[in-house]
Amino acid sequence: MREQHAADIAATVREHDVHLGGLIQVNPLAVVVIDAHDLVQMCNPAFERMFGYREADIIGQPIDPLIVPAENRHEAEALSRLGFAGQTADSVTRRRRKDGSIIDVELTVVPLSHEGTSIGAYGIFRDLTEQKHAERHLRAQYAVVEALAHSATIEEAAPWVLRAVAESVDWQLGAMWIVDRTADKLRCLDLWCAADVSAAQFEQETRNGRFARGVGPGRTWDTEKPAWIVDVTKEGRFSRREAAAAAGLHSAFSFPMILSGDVIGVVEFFTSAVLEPDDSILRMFAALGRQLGAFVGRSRTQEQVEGFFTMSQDLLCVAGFDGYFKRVNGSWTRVLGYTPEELLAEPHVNLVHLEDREATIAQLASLRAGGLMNSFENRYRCKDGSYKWLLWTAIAKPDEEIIYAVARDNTDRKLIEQQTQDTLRMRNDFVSFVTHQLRTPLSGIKWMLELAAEGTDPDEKTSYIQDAHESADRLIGLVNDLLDASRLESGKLRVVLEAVNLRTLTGDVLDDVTTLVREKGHTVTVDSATDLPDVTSDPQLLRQVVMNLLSNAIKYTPPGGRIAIRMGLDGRNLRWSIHDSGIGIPKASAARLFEKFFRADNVHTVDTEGTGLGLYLVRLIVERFGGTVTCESEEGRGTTFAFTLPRAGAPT
Amino acid sequence: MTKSILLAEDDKFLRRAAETKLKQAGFDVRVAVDGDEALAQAREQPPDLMLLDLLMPKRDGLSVLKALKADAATAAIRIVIISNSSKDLEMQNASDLGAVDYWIKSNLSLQELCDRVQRLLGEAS
Repeated sequence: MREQHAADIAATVREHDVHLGGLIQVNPLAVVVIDAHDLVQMCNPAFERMFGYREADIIGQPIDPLIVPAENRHEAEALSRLGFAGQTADSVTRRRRKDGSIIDVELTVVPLSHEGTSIGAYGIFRDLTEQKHAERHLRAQYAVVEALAHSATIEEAAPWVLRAVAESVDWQLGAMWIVDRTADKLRCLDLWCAADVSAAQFEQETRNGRFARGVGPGRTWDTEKPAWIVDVTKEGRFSRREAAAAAGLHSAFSFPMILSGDVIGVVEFFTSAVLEPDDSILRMFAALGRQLGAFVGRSRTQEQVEGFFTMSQDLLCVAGFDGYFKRVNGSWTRVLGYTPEELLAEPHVNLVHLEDREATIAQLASLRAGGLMNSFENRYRCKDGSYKWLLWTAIAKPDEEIIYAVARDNTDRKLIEQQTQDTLRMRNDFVSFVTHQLRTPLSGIKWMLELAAEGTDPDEKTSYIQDAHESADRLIGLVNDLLDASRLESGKLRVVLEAVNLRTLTGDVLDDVTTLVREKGHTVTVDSATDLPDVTSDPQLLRQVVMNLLSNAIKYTPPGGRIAIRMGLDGRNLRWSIHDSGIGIPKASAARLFEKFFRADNVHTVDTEGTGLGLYLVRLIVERFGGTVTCESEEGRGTTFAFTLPRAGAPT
Repeated sequence: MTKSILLAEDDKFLRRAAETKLKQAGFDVRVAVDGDEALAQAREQPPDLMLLDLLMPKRDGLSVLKALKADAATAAIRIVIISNSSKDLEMQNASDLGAVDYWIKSNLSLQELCDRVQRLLGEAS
């Protein structure tokens, strides 16, 4: 009865088809005819091609279990009911092929009636695969572009790209590999896995995996082409197959990331379905691979530039025409001590030394007008209040109102320049001072001789000649002192090292000045141990030291003064000191006593009766033999000069 | 009328030589041995001409010059710098501060010094 009924329907439909010129049989749309019980009565060749069933196999079978996925069951039943109720219905939905794969379709249900009675329905299917692919392609492209636009590096972009691609093709897991040039291996950059897949083991093996060229994802690296594996769990060469099986992953495809013709990485995706190679997917991802490669290339270039910016020892910055820094590198903090935030917070010209500000503002103005800043120098205030000399090179982009500038810390070189200038100035000072000091006794000789030549009184004449003589002695003394100082300074003075007994030497010097001491009415005492050890020194030079200090004491102590010389051991050194009861030396001058006479700021305080070199020579000589010289003085209470020298035999 | 000269010179030989020569030429010569003394004497009894050394103890010649020119009572004193220093800067300073001339002692004989003084004081009288 039922079969008869079915045969009636099929016959009726075929009859119609004949009348319509084989419209059903030759139609490119897949057509199936079902009866009121959902049983297949007929299908056309397009249906056979689309679903993989032959008509003979499915005649009389219920249609739904054959081609409707479980989740579409209700929708399919509702469509049938509408058809049986005499209504045409349309739906974009999914159906299943004989091989289990899912196909996107547009389904139209058209009622089938016979003599006014509804006896079944036509199901007409249009294959939406291509359209769906195009849509997915667009969606994936859009998602990838979006991910790349918001990322600076491929590492940052990887999770978003993997997710966007996987979701757009409905695959469950994706991994990105990057070529490690040093190790010559692929290293996993990132992995994305759908929430409903438990792939812990697979993820671990993937993340820790290192693949050489030609192995695993390295095959895609080697071939430089997209690849498809229908079922990785059955692929002997797939090393992660057990973990893939445990995670329920089967089909896989991979594609290379290509930059300038070189593979720089590989992306692979896995799905829980077992799918035949899909050309449209492979084509789409070949394009994506080039896109990702280009992105990596750009981000690497960016990274290199960043590297220069970060690592430069120079002070690099980007500034706006508004007068604020937009970006500074780490060298700014290293050189000036400010954090980048502090540097960006105020107009940069505020940090420029007041004296350099006007020139800086002028330079900036010409820069903004399209000029170039080259070899411009100014001083920047450091956080600690000191200043650094910066040497600038800068260029402006007026269109963007941006200045790119490089500054070099030129402080050390400036300091050397300054020192060179100071040295030159000091040399000039020295020459003019020496000129003055030489001219004075020379004038004395000249004028005294002139008076002597004109004079008539023999006693007067003798007196003038004596003065000329004394001036000449002073001149010779000065020249000798200058020579000694110069030789000691350059280390070229020939010294004769001997064991010298300071006690004996002091006694000898005192003998020489007996007359002077008597004239001024001074009392000189010497306090020394009898067994004072020797020092190793040049006796002539050491004699000069003692003589200079002693004659100073005699000269600067008012008549009738007390001068006390003491000698003794001070650790492994010998200490020689001379105390006078003179007027003392102001503190400010005491500190400079041992400096060379030509210091500009104390020129007018120099003792013009002497050469101005006495104490300087004392210092040079004492230091030459490894000792030190000091001066302690209190105004009105007298002065103590002292020097120490290592005792003979003591290691120096 | 005898012209008065104040000679400020710290070097005892130069002081003695110049003083002797100028006195022989008939001038009334007083001497000062350092800057402080020079200033005090010039204030106490302004001379017709002051010969002022620069490098002196206690107070240098430029400072004496400045102080005298700043004081109305002594501003009119004709001052000649006598120095053995030939620093351009010092010469300029002396001129700016109102010194009549700047003589370098070692380049002058006593006779030339005396002649110049006579010329200067002759013009003034």
